Amino acid sequence: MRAVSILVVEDHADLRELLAVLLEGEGFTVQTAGNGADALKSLDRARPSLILLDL
Amino acid sequence: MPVMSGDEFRERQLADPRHRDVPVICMTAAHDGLARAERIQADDYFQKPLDFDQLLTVVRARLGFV
Repeated sequence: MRAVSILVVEDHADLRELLAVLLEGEGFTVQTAGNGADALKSLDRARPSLILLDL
Repeated sequence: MPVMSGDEFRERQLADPRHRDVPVICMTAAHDGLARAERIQADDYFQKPLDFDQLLTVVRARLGFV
């Protein structure tokens, strides 16, 4: 298990979950957020190593 | 994106010294995706629909796993 976490910020739930499954399959720890406000809360809770951000 | 847009999230992230260094890979279906990615100072950019293999390759590289 890699002690590396990724935050996925994506409002489309299907894509969000798919990305989480793919990244967890690579051994990463994944946090998800459906909007920017939740993503900011997630940042404060546990700082990720990388952010995937839907624009 | 509802409640707070990805652009606004990035603006707030960059304004926070605790979090501004966390790299961001952005994903967008917008026609002007590259310009938007540059505007928010994204580290990488992917056009939707996503090429998942390519995305995972960039994620691994960005995190130092080649």
